[in-house]
Formats: sequence, C-alpha cells, structure tokens
Amino acid sequence: MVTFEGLLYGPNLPLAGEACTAHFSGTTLIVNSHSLVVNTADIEMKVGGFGHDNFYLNWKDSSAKGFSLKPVGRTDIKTVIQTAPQRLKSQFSQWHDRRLTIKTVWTTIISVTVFIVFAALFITWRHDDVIGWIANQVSVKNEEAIGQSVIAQMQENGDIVMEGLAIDTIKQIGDRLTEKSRYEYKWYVLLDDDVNAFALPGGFIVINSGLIQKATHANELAAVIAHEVQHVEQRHALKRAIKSIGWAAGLIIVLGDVNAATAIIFHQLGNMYFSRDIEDEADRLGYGLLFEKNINPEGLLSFFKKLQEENKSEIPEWFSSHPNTVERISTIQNMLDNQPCLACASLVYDWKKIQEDSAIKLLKE
Amino acid sequence: MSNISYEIKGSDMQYVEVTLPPEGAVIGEQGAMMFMDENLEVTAVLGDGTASKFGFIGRLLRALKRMFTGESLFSSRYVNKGKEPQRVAFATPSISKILGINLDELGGDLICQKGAYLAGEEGIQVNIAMQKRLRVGFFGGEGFIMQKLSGKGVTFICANGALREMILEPGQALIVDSGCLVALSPSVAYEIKYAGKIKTALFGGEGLFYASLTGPGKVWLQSLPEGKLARHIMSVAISGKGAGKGKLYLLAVIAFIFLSALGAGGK
Repeated sequence: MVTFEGLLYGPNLPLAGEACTAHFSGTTLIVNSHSLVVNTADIEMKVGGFGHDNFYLNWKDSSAKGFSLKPVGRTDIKTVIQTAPQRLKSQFSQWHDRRLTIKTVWTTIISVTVFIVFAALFITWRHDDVIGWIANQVSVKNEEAIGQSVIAQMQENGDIVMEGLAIDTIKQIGDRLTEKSRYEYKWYVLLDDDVNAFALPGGFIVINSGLIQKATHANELAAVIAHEVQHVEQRHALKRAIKSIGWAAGLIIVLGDVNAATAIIFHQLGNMYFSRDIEDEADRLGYGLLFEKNINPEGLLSFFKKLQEENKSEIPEWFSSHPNTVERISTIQNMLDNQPCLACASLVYDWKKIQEDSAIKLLKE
Repeated sequence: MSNISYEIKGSDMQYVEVTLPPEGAVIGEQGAMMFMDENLEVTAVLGDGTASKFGFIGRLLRALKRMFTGESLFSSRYVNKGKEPQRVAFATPSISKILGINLDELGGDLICQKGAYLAGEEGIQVNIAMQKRLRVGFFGGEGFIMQKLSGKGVTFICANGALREMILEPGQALIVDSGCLVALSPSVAYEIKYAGKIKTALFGGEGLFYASLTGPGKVWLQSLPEGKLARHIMSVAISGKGAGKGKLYLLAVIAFIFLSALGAGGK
C-alpha cells in the first residue's frame, strides 16, 4: 500500500483545498485523512492547473456533490500513475499527451528561434564563405548561359573580334593554361583603346585591343590571361553579384534565372572593381597557374611595372581598377623571389606581328 | 490574518482606501496614489519590493520580469511611521473597478490578467504566469503572459464593467467570452474549446473559440473588457451616430486616447 499526498477539494472544504493522504486499494481510492472510499469507476481524470502540468481526480458522491483530488508534487503524481488500477490508468494518456505536446511545441519554437539567430550570426560572421558556398551551387551550365548572354549583348553593340592572329595566339596560350578546367573557355578581343581585360562567368575571357598594343611580350599577355582565368575558376563575378545585389540575387542565380543574372552582371561590367582580397587571390592563383604550366611568370610583374611607370595621370583601366598596386607589385615580387620557377620558359611569339593583326586595329576616324 | 483594513469606494470608477496600523506597510503601483495621511513615509522600491536570495541582481531581474506583465519597474512603499492608523487611497488608472482579494483564502497564489495589479500588502510578489498552451495564448483573450500574485494578505486588482466572482465546484465548467476573465485561482483549468458549429462560429459573434474554465477554484469575471469598450467607442465615433457629429466624436476619442496614454505612461 503506497500512500500519496494530495489536496482535496469539495463541499465544506476550503477553497484552496485541504491537505490529505490517500491510496489505491483494489478498484477503490481511499482518502485516509477524510475517511472517503471511492470506486475508481466513478473517477474521471482531468488535466488541470494553470500550467497544464497537473491532474485532478474528479468524482461525485452519493448526493451528487463534486470532489476533486490533486496529487501535490512530482513524486505523488508518479505514485498515482504507478498504483492506480488499470481502468483509471487508461485515462492518464490524456495527461501524458498534453505534457508531451506542450514540450514538443515549445522545444520546436525555441530550437527554431535559436537556429535562426545562430544562422543569422553565422552568415554575418562567415559572410564570404557563405557567398562562396552559394556561388558554388550555380551549375557550370547556368554560368555558361549567363556568360553567353552577356557576350551576346556585347556583340550586338559590335566591336567584338572572334578571329585573326591575335585571337589565335590568345587561344593557344589560353588553352594551354586551361587544359584541364571544367569550363570550356572562349576567347574574345574587344576593339577598345583602354588597357583592360575581363572575365565573364562560364569561361568567357575578353581582352581589349588596347591591352595587346600596350604589352610588349606574349608573357605579359599570358599573365593577364592567367589572372582572368582565376576570376572565372573562383567564380568571382558571381560572388560579387551576390554580394552587391544581395541574397535575392543569389537565389535567382542559383535557381538559374539567366536573364535576371545577365542583367545584373552586364550592369556591373561598367564598374567592375573587385576587392583587394579577390584581386590578390587572382594574382596568387594566376601566378601558380603560370608556374604549373611552365610559363615565365615575370610577365605579370613587368606588365604591372610598365603601366605604373607610364604617364601617371592616365592610368589604364585594368590597372586602376586593381587597388593597392604598389603593394601588389611587391607581393608578386616576393612570390618571384621565394618560389622562382626554374623550369619556366618564356613564350615564343612574334609579338610585333600579333600587334599588327588588322582584325584588332581600331577603325579610327 | 491581514493586518490592514480597506474600503472600496465609488461606483464605476473606483478607488480603495487602505487604513494602515502603526508600522504597517502597503505597496502601490507608481502613480496610483490618490491621497494619503501626512505621517506616511513613501519610498520608491525596485519591483515589488520583496527580497531575493540573489541580492540586488535577483531583485532587478524580477523587476524586469514584472515589467513584462504590464507593471512599472519601480513601485512605491507606504509605511505608517506614526502612532495612529493612517490612510492611503489608490485609484484605478482607467474606467475600472477594484477587487480586493485575500490571497490567504486561495492558498497564496492568484493568476490575473496582465496589468491588473494595483496595490497590495507588503511581501506580495508579482510574477509572470506564462501560458504554455499556444491555442490558449492565441485565442484565450489574455495573451501568453498573465500575472501571478503570490504571498500573504490582501491584494487589489483592477477590472472593467460589472464584476462577478464565482466558485467552481470540482469538475464544473464555465464558458466565458475571451477577455472577460479577470482572475482565477491556480487550481482552475483554463482551456480553449472550438465553437463546434460553423454557423455559430461565423454568425454567433463570439468567434471560433470559447474560453473554458473548469473547477475546482474561484474565478473573477468582468462584463466589459477595455478592448471591447475601446472598439465600441471607436466604431460609434467613426460611423458618427448622433446627428452628424462624427468628427467631433472622433476628436474627443483621440483626445481621450491621448490622455489615457499619458496616464498609462506616467503609471
């Protein structure tokens, strides 16, 4: 016989209930302190209390007066659950269910809130990594579609050269640099006097004719190509688009809405300034690429230096759009000093002849 | 046994006049005092003025928690420093009546609607009573946060309209309109029931859900929740019942709301 403590409510009892002791015996509930014997068949169990965490055993006596017995503490509740006769026990599932529901609901609400807060913090903290991850969700096919439609828009504006000695040379050097890439690179020359080059998502590399005229050796062209190839490989344009236009853009690009993405990237072409970190990354990886393909990497340095020494009031665009040039030159110098490429050889091309290619001559006046 | 005596005065807008014996103390909400005798000493106390085993931090946390239940951060403590009994009166901040409830009769705890607490004997704590069931929180008319007053002695709470207190026998259920519940003893089960019939739900004017209160315990009900009153006044003002004086009514209502907000802010 295990007794439990409870509060008894009923006629002529205090409003707040009266302390009592009780136990189950066979199919009856005996309230020892109040000399009450109740048939458990008459008892109805109800979940109660403001916190919905307790239960009340309700019954009516012979004169139809209502009584209620509430086990007080956790141990008393346990005792009731363990010692109650079978027919009463079946009613306890209501109490269990209620408690379980409340627990599940609040656990869910709290976990979702915590998750959202942590996700927001994580995204703020690892902003660049998250952008990178999103950019990597874009399939190569979608990237190519984006690049293709940007190129198509540029071709409508004219001045895109797709054949000739210069293109052949760029293609030769480029194919050597991008031999095992997942991208299928396409090479273009834009008839423009500005010394500039840029890369579009999906492996579209555009070199301005002005840059070919400014360079003095094929090594320099190779260096520029290696740098631009890394922009493609690292998906810098996509990352930048996602960063500047926002997360909605990320979603659009990942979902593959080519038109919207094209509009964004085309709009950015005019002022495509990458951050210093991104340029550094392209420099570093570009250098590695030249190294790997045994192309003399000094081209990048000499091209930079030449541009810097030239008329400073008229700094070419490809150069000026790359911030902290002095620092970058010294970084490249360091790489050359620290890991010189002994196996590397200079490219052998008749550079003068390439520059004379009539296809890349601007039709002046 | 309570060591203060009190008298609730007025009809629809009431105040309570408390008489304190020498060295007797009472805690009142900020700005609730209407008048008092000169030998009372008034001090501002943090929260409800009760001690905490965690010291100042504990009291501060409890005061902040108390703010979530619609009360202010500080309250005022009125102590009788004289040799004669002294009076202090607290008035309601709105068109409210006052209920004087002796917590001793309820086993020391009372759950009441948010912001209902007006004053009480020293030592009564005002805590958050968090509603754990979502459906009751959303549709019960009282929200997720109610007040739990615990301690010994008499506490005064505000209610609107005509009042009804009722003792529910074990298992006896009462259906009430949401918002009409003022207070309940903690042994009462407060639940939500679906109206059941679509027609009743749509056209009965009582909404989809009923609040159901099941005994044993005591409940206090009010006939006119503030929100209901405010909605009615607003609709009358906008429809302009009463000889095309709609705009004037609206101005009066805006002035009334503005003044009430000022009053609530200074509470």
